[in-house]
Amino acid sequence: MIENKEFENSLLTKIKKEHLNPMPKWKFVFKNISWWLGGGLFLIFGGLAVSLIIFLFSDEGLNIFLRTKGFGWEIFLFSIPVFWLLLFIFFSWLVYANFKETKQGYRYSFFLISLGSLLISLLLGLTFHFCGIDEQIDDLLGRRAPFYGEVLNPSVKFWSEPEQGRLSGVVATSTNEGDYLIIDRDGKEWTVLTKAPCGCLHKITIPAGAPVKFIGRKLNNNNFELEKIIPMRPGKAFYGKIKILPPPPERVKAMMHCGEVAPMPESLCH
Amino acid sequence: MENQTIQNLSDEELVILSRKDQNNFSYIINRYKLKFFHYVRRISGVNDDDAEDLVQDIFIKIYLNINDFDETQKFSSWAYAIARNLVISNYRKRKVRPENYKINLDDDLMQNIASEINIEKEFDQLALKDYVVQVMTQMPEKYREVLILKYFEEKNYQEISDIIKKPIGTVGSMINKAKKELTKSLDKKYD
Repeated sequence: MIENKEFENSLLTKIKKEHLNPMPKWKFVFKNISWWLGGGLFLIFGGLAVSLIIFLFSDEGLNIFLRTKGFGWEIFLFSIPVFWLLLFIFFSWLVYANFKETKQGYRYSFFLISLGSLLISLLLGLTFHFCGIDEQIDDLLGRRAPFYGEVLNPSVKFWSEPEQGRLSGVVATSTNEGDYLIIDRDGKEWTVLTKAPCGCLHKITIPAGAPVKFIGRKLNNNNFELEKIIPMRPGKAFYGKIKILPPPPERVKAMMHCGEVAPMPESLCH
Repeated sequence: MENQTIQNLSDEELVILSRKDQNNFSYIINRYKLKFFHYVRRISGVNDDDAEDLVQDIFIKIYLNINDFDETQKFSSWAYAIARNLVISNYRKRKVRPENYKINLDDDLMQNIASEINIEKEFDQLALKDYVVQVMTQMPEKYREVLILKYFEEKNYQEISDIIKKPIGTVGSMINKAKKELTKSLDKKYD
C-alpha cells in the first residue's frame, strides 16, 4: 500500500478527520528560550558557588595559618569547601543538560560545553567575589542556614580545634592588654591569655561581640595561650548568633592580670 | 500552483506550502514515504505492516511539529531525526529491541562499503556480502545505526550529526570505529 497514492490520501484523510493541526511556532520558540534561560540561570548559580569557593578558600586566616606553620596536604584538603564544589559541579551539569536541549546544542561536545561553562562560571564567580556578593551570601547563610558549620563552611570546624592550636568564637570581654574571654560555637567559655608581656603583643583591642580566630596553644580545659589573632570573614554572621552573657565578676578579675577590662557594648548584654 | 511545478520545489519550500495548506503535505509524504519505510525496516527490523504503521506515525509527527522546522536547516535531516526518535520510542513502548533481522545489501552498496573499508583482496562477492550483513547485524546498535545512515541512506557527517543529535566529531569517530570493526571481522574471517 505504501507504494501507491492511497497511502498519502489515507494519511491526509486521517489528519483532516482527527483535526490534527501543527503546533504553533511560539510553543517551540518558548521551549527553546526556556532551555537557554534555564542554562543561564544555572550558570549564575554556578558563578555564585564559585564565588563562595573563592571566598572560603582564600580566607585570610587560613592563608596566615598555612604560612605560619608547616602544614601539609591534609590541611589543604580539609580547607576545600567540598559542599560548594559539589554544588558547582551539579550546576555545571545542569548547564550542560540545558544547553544540549537547545536547538543547536547537540552540535557541541561535552568538553567544549563544560569548558565554556567553567570559564563563564569562573568569570562570574570572580565578579561576584569582587562585588562582595559572596560575603553577603555567606552572612545570610551563617544566620539562617541549618548545618552551616557542619556542611557549608569547613573553616568553622577547622577553627574549632583548640587541641590543634585553633580556637574561634565571639569575644565576650577583653582587657586592654589583649586577654580575652570568648565563647566558642558550642557556648563554652575560654580565657585567651596573651603570651607576650603586657602591652607588647596587640595594639588593638578587639571589642566585645566580635567574632575572631586565635592561633595558639591549649593550656587546659578553659584556657588558651594566644599567639596570633585573625579576623573572621567567612562565618562571621554564624558566630554572630552566639549569645553573650556578661561574664561573672570573679572570671573578669582573674583575667585582669595586668590590664583593664574593655567595656562591653550595651547591645550585646542580652 | 501546478502539480509539476510543486513537484520541482525543494523540501524546504514544500514545508512552507504545507504550513499554508495541509494538502501540500502530500508532496512531502510522496517524496519521503519509501525512504522512511526502508529506513525504519533497516534500523528496527519490524515487518512491512509494522513499518508502514510507523511511517504513518512519523508523518503525523512531522506534520504536528512542522512549525518547529527551521528553514535554514536541511529538512531531510530534521525529518530523519523525528523518524529515528519515533522508532526508538517504539522500542521503549514494546520494551524489546530487534535482534534478528536482515539487512539487504545490493551490489552498489556492497561496492561502496568495500571501497570504504579498503577490502583489497579478491573475495567471493556473494560470501563477502553475506558476511558483511552478518557482522553489521551483530554490531552494537550505535555503530550499526551510523553505518546505515552513511551507506544506506547516503547521509554525510553533518546530516548524521543532525539526525542522531551528536557532535560531528563523535559521528566521525563512531563511523571509524564501525569501519574498523567491520575490517577486523573480515580480516579474521579471510586470513
